[in-house]
Amino acid sequence: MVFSSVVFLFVFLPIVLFLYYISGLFAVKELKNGILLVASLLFYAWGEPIYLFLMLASTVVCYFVGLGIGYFKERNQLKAAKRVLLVGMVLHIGSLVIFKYTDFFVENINRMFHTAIKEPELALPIGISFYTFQILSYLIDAYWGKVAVQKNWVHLATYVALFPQLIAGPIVRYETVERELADRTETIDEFALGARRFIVGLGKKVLIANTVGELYTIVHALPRTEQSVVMLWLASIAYTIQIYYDFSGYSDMAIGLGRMFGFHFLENFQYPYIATSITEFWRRWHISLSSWFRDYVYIPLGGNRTGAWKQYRNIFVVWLLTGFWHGAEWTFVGWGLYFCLLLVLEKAVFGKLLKRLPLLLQHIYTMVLVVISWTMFAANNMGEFFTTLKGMFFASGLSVSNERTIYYLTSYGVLFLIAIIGATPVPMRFYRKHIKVKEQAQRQYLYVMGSLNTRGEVTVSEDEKYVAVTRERAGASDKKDRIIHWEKESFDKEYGLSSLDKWKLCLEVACIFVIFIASISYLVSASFNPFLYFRF
Amino acid sequence: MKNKIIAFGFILLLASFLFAAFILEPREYSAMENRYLKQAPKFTVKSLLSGEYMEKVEAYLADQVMFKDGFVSLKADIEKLLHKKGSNGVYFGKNHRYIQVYDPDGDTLKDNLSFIKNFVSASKSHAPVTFFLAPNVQSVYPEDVPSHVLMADADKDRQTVKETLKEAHFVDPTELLQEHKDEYIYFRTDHHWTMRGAYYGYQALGEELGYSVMDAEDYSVEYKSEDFLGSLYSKAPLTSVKKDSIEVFSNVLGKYRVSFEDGKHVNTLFMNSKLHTKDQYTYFLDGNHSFITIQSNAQTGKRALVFKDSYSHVLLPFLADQYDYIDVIDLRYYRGDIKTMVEAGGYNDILMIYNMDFLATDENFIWLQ
Repeated sequence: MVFSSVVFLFVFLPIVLFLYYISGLFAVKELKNGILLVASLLFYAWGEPIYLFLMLASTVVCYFVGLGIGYFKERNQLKAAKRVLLVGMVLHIGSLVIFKYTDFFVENINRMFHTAIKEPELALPIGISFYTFQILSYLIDAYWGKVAVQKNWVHLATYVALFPQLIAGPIVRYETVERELADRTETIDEFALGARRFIVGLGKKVLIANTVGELYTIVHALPRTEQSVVMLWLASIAYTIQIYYDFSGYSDMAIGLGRMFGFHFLENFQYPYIATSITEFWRRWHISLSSWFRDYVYIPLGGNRTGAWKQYRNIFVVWLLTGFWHGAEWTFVGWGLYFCLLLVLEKAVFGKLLKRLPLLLQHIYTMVLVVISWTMFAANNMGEFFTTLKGMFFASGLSVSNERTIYYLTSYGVLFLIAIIGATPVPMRFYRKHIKVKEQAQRQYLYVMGSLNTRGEVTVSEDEKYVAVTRERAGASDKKDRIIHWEKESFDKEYGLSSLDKWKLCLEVACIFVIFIASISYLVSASFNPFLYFRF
Repeated sequence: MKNKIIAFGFILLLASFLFAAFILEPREYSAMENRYLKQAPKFTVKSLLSGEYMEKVEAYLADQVMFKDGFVSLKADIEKLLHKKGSNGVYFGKNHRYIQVYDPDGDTLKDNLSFIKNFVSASKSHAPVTFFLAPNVQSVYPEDVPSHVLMADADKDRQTVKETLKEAHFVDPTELLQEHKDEYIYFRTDHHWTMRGAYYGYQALGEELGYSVMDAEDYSVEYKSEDFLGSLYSKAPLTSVKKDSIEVFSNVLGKYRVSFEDGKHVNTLFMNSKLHTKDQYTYFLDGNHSFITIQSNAQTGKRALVFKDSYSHVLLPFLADQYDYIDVIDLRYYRGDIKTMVEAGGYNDILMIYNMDFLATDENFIWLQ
């Protein structure tokens, strides 16, 4: 199942939310995770009915390997613990390699040695790359002693299969949710923040990624004679926009859903397209993946502490794996090594020089290289990539522009503009500065409204500090009484929301629901709605 | 407060869609989109394991979702707002006019013209053949077409038709229609012309064939409907749409009898009952039929054979006053022996009435062979 579907939005999610919050009323601790686990398994089975068993088996193996590590560590038998960890890693990485890369290896062996081994044509289990990496983070951290071994299978399986992050990330580390797996509280405020984040993510995916991404597909389906240089650039930029909005939209939805169920995942994207170097780009792009490789591959290999040459070797290994992680195809390997080369060059050759250029040139440098990287990423094979690249750089005799190009430019121009502005912090800054009503005023209003309306007495709110502020500003010694006797009108005048504030609140809430309704209208009206991570 | 509204609003929305999905009776047909909607798929273990079942459930739920028509409209509205030139095979033209994308594929026009050419050569010894080519809306209102759209050049193709069919009488009413472009001669939401447009077509045809054409004022002209939303609207239903009217020209002295291929017949050219259906254009001659015969009290002693598309449905009522007897064939559905008909029918005229888009895209002209 994917988030951007009617089944998920209008059947799965409301039922799961209902059962989850009902179960919270009972004093059985396991119930909440139990419901999440069953829901997650159904979520997975809806898209991968057969591979459900593979994922379940993974959770069982992970559980026992974890127990084994814990058993030997308690007895201080570190070598044995390490052996158990290695067995676990071989099993999990093994299943990833078998299901994801067998066809690729067989195909290349056949090509190299002119053999004719039949490709097993295994379908790739959706999300296997994500959940395998989550499992590995748990096992390695358990071995390192960074997290405690999970003795409860339901908790562990819930972590591995948790549907918000199951099929398209982010890669949530076990340490991030360790505490929340056992004990978490859900509040209306958190739920609202989650719902809002989810809606924003859905809008990013459905309204921007899908609509802009369509252009890439259209252009690359055209006969070569109808393409032009500008059109190929437009297509690549469209894909650049699509993959960011799609992927970060999924992450937003995952983070939002997590919050609705009381989990706090880490951010996965930080405006990657405002980066001024490739190095910075990778600090902002798919953070959960790059930090995973940093912590579990780069640093264990020695990082940058073992001399320059070894450091370059380590960088090479990390980027080879990063590329290959994205799919079993040479384009992805090439894509990883392309970044490896750029990162090494920035580190060793022109990084400092780059920083002295005008900021605009730094941005252009970064984005041109990023757009080219996505062109390789999107191509079906290296041959196709080089053909497109030649076209983009006037090397295949295409005309600069043509009528069709102008049509696409004028038809998609507004969307491109919205998408580009939306990929910068500008909208968020504008919101914080001009739309968002100050937290405190809002709290004060809520607090007094709530307390006056329900019981007519001041109950201590969850935010004691605020109470103090209110009392202080009320200028009373026996503040409690004074506050109780505030008339609504006079309180509003003093601390409450101005009518402008109220308009701003209405605007904000309205915007969120407009995005939601607009997304639904695209979802139900047979629009282009691809799933980009089927090769991850 | 804000958070409460968002939280409860979100839950309320999800819950009502869920609730509606279980409560609402599935619809069979969407008049707005002009298509049949998906129904609940049959469950089989095989379709479950292959994932086909899940895909069908998704399609079914999307089609049957509450306020579906509203959502489809909203999407079209957003696309227009974002300056998309069109959606789903139509462009959003100026003056609330939908414009069907003219995009003929490959050799269809060339093939069709050679079929027609052969037919003209073979038939003209039996009766003179006239080819009437109705232009589409973009040829009459080029200024309403949005800028920088991808459209093949229909005017060039019309020229090609004219040059290829030299052996036939050729009538192209485009210029005359352009002279009357201030009048209501094309529907805004449908791919057809109006009966008023067809009247000018009739004038042009009359000039070529020597009809005595009645003045427009001498017809009884009335509006039969003010709420027609045509086929182009269905492809991208904008909320800001301007509905079309059905205007009818009727000859008060005319008496008609229309017989259909199934033996039924009616004594009128216009079907009032069709004004209450989705496709109100079928008011004229009951829409598409493989074969109809129109008899009238024209008393000219003339008979005609007509090959046509649906553009003719508003033109034939005028022609009925020129011929006692008209046989009308739609090549999309008619599979009878055309050759014998032409040879033994005793026709005074053979008319071929087609619009440019149809001529360049339809693949049934092969049946003329």
